[in-house]
Amino acid sequence: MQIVSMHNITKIFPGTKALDSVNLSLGEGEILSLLGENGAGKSTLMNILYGIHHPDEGEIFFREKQVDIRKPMDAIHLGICMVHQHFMLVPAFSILDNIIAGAEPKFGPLIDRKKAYDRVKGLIDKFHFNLDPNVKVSELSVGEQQRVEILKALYRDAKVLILDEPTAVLTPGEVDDLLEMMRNLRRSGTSIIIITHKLRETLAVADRIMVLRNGVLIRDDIKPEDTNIEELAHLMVGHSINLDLHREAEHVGEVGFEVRDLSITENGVQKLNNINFKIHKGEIVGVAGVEGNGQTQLLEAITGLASPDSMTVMLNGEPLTGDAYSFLHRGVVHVPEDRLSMGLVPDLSLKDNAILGHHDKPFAAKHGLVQKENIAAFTEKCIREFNVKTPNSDVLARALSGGNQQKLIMARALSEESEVLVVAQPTRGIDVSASEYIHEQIFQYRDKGKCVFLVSADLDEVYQMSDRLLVLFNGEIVLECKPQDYTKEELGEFMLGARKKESIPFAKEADD
Amino acid sequence: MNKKKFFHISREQWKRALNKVMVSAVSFIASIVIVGIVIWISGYSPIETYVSMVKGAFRSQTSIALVFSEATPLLFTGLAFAIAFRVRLVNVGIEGQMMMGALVGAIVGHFVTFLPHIPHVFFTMLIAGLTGMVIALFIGFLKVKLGANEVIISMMLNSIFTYIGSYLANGPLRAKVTGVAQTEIIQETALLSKLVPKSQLTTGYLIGLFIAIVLAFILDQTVLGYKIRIAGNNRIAGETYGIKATKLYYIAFMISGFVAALGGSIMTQGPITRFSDGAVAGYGFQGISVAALGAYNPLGVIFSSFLYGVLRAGSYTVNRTTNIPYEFVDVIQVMVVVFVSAPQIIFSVKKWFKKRKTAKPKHLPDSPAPAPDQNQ
Repeated sequence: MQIVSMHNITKIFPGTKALDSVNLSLGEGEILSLLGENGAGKSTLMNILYGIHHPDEGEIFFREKQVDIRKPMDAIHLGICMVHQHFMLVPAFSILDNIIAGAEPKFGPLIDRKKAYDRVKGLIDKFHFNLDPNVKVSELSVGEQQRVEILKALYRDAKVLILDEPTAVLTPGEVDDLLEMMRNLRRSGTSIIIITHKLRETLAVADRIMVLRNGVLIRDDIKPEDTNIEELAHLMVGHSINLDLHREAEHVGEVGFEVRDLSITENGVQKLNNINFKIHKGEIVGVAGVEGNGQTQLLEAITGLASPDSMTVMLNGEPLTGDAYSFLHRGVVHVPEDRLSMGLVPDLSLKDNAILGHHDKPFAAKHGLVQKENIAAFTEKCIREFNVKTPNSDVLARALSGGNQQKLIMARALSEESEVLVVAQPTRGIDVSASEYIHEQIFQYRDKGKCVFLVSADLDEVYQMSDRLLVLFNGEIVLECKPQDYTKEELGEFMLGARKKESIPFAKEADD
Repeated sequence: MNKKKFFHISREQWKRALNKVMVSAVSFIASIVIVGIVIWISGYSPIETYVSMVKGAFRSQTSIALVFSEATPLLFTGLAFAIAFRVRLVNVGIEGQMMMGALVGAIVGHFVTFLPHIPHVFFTMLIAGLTGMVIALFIGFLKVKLGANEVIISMMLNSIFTYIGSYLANGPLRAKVTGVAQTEIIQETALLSKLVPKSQLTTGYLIGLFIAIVLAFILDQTVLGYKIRIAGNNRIAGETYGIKATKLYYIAFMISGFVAALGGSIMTQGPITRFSDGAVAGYGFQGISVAALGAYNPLGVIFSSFLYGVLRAGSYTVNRTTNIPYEFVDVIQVMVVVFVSAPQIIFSVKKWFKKRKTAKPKHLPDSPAPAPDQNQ
């Protein structure tokens, strides 16, 4: 029996047809994987089902009865719940409080905590979620927080669970746990729609795969056992895509960038402990690790944003000190991890954004006056060379899609002379074609004999891009290796601290 | 440089500017309508009231001069508030800074006797302006170094300065032959020239216009203005790329304090001719409304201060012919702040109209509303 079916859904946003007569059906206890690039209409379709948007045309049926879902509460009442990519939890509250907030069992005017606890505990045990309801959310790992989000939905009697990019922030081990959890849920009759770009996971867990491209349904009857990654990628993008990223470094030169004795303490907590590494010219050094193990502090330290307890940075054999400005102007360019808060000023134009960091270089400013013509030319060059899709350079940065925003940030970093590229989460939340483009640009930069320092929560990405890999756990480098010497599963063990290696032979070799 | 390109405005920029003008215009009209309802409830015809106001404001050369002289202090405080708000600082301290400017202007204007006319005028303005700058710098220091909230600090300082002024006007500086708390009249060499004879309109208004144009130039054409725009819109992104917000806080506060105090001094050197208790009270707070209606843009502030000038000058006529108190202009100003700082009200009204017009409801994605009240 179909639990949800959507017929001929059309949604028009000013200027674009986000969805063009799309059908979707979901059976009881079925896991449906919704694939597509950013902008393909996946999120719009799900937002319509969840009541955030209203379709211009089309009908939605729930258990074969037509329904009108106008707001998320309507969806939740039907038993349709969504777990967003960005968790909506109160860190200072316990797991229990987060789950029951908004749907508390009442005892008169009071909350019946006993009943709430029993119910939540019951759910946790039933699905083997392995959580203590009284622990504060702030103490949880990302994977555990996601489980709390799913619990929130189950507590509200979710019949249909929509998971938006659930694996984007998880380690390989956590991904396996999540997939297992999804199978458990399916067994108990819950239907799941999973929005993702990760093809491997789709194949591992989905019962059926549906592909959208440019708002049009391409196929919705793909069985995982009858397909493969290449075919899915082809269907998503419309042309074939090179999924094997790795490209050997062409020429690895002398040491270009070196960090010694880097330690940071924040509020009495040691965030980084004695970090040492070198990047050779023409080499990509990647950092793998679960988020929150010191990556943010490491990035801030080596771009001059934070002042560590101790650190020596050598750039081409000369010491580099000072603040973010000095680092930038000595040629350490930065593509920060959070596009919208650190990388861009969303409410200003592309021109204003393109010269951020270059704003007092001679081409942009003369005698304190901005050189509008040069800035316009520079912005046009960035847009052209990095294939940023935009009507013109005067639109606000917020009007661009995530992939194009990231291309603009990359263009800004690489369009002027530089020595070292520090790039964090280069393709987070970005579609396959834009990712491919950005990866290509990083390789090209490396092959010009420059240093690249890459941090990503996506293990596949660091694993395939890096010429040398550092694994960061609990503020320490627990492994330095060539990626090909270890499997991803082994690296996962290092990332979780389950394995530690004392001697680091490759580091010695690199010293020579 | 090619002049045409220099002031080139693209379509996108036009659209955004029009949107801002729309928000301001709708806010203003909505405020007028609401106050009109109040006038109507009080038993007067709102239309007649407004018509007689506008007529009153433009009936003669003297009344037009009154419009501009009423606009003068608002132009200064509006600019002062707007420039600080560009880095998302709420300088409600302009009230106190303007008052200190007026006081210092009175002191320098009276006690400095050796300077000839023009140098004395500028010297007085300069010292007054610097006083305001130092005060604002102090607030900036407390904010940056000690993490104090600039709104609370400014409010407290406003009270302190009001009492300092009150004390001086009542005590040490009190004029000999007068019954009220005020200082001696300043020297004639420190007085600004009148633009229209027998009016209160002085060259001070032109100085205000000049400053507005300079500020607009700074914001649009200089690297400093670029940094102000970045820091005001996304402080973290700015710092990531080497633009230090704290430095800009200092600069914006300094400009803001200087302009506010300069406005105070210009009042002393113009229509008031001395410092008296409460002479410039209220202009600072009204500046918030002026800046908001002018979309925090120096050129916009020229228009918004002019509009308020019309209302204020006209309200004197209305007050003479009816018994509507001219304080209702204050109500209009306050309503404008409410509407401008909550543009969502306007967007939802706009949406509602659109819905009614089109037979088939069309759902737009949420309008990216400018949110000027999003402070960190």
